[in-house]
Amino acid sequence: MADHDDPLDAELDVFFNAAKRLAPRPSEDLQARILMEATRAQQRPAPKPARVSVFEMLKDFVADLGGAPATAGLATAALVGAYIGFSAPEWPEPMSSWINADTSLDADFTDPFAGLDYSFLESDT
Amino acid sequence: MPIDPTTQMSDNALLVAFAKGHADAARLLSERLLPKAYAQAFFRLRNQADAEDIAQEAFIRLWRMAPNWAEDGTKVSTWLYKVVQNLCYDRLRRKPSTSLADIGEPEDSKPAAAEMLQDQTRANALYRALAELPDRQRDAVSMRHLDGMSNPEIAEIMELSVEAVESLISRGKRKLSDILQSHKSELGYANG
Repeated sequence: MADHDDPLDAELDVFFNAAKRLAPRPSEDLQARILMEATRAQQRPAPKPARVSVFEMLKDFVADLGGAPATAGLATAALVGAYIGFSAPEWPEPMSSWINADTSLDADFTDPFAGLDYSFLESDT
Repeated sequence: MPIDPTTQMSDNALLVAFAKGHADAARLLSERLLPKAYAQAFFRLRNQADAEDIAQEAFIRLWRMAPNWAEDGTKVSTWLYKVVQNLCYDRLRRKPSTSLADIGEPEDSKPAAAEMLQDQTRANALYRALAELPDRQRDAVSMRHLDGMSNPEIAEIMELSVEAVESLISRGKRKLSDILQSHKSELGYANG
């Protein structure tokens, strides 16, 4: 173990070796318990794959969409759509006038029979 | 097909084999790594029961992690010792007071009683001196000189450069020596 080039090692090894000589050995009972635990560990079913958390699912979804930039663009578009839907914006004048325009047709109508005496259509009875 | 007990397969290859269902890979891995992992926990906690708990927990984590082991250059042994180190930190935070070493009674294979008594005195003096070091110096010195780890291994466990580890060890050893010198006569220091 320790080389004795250093006189300090030779001096201290007296103490280290005394401690090592007196150290107990592991008992056969301990060895048996450890082997029993080994058997138990081998008999355990293989660990189930870890449940995927909501966060993991979200991360996969974002990756499928094309990563963070694509998802940010999509989210922005969705927010703008929702805003437009709820805020009923004022349309600019030309457009509103176009939308609210009266679509009925005004036409000058001249009665071709104006002044016609219809009395002949009436019977004498 | 069983794995040859004398296999030269690396620890990492054995862990992969374990994950594929080879039960004997677990036995080989624990035979290779448990003594050091257990000693590491014991040297930090100085209590056999706590060291056993920590070693067992570290291996449970190793077995459970095996199916997800990533070949990124990390050695299984380094990974395991780092787990042991962290578990010891947690245990010491919860139960900071540590007794002197839980050494137990002499066994036949242990040194004779007089030698053992001297070893106990020296080991306890070492633990007391280590407790006086700043945390990182104590960890680096313990890993190098008690656990027998290499400096690059310690650097990986402590998440430092090898140079920083060398510096910590060097300063830690000087301070340890100063502390132990003050108890020289009562420890039979000069007799080695």
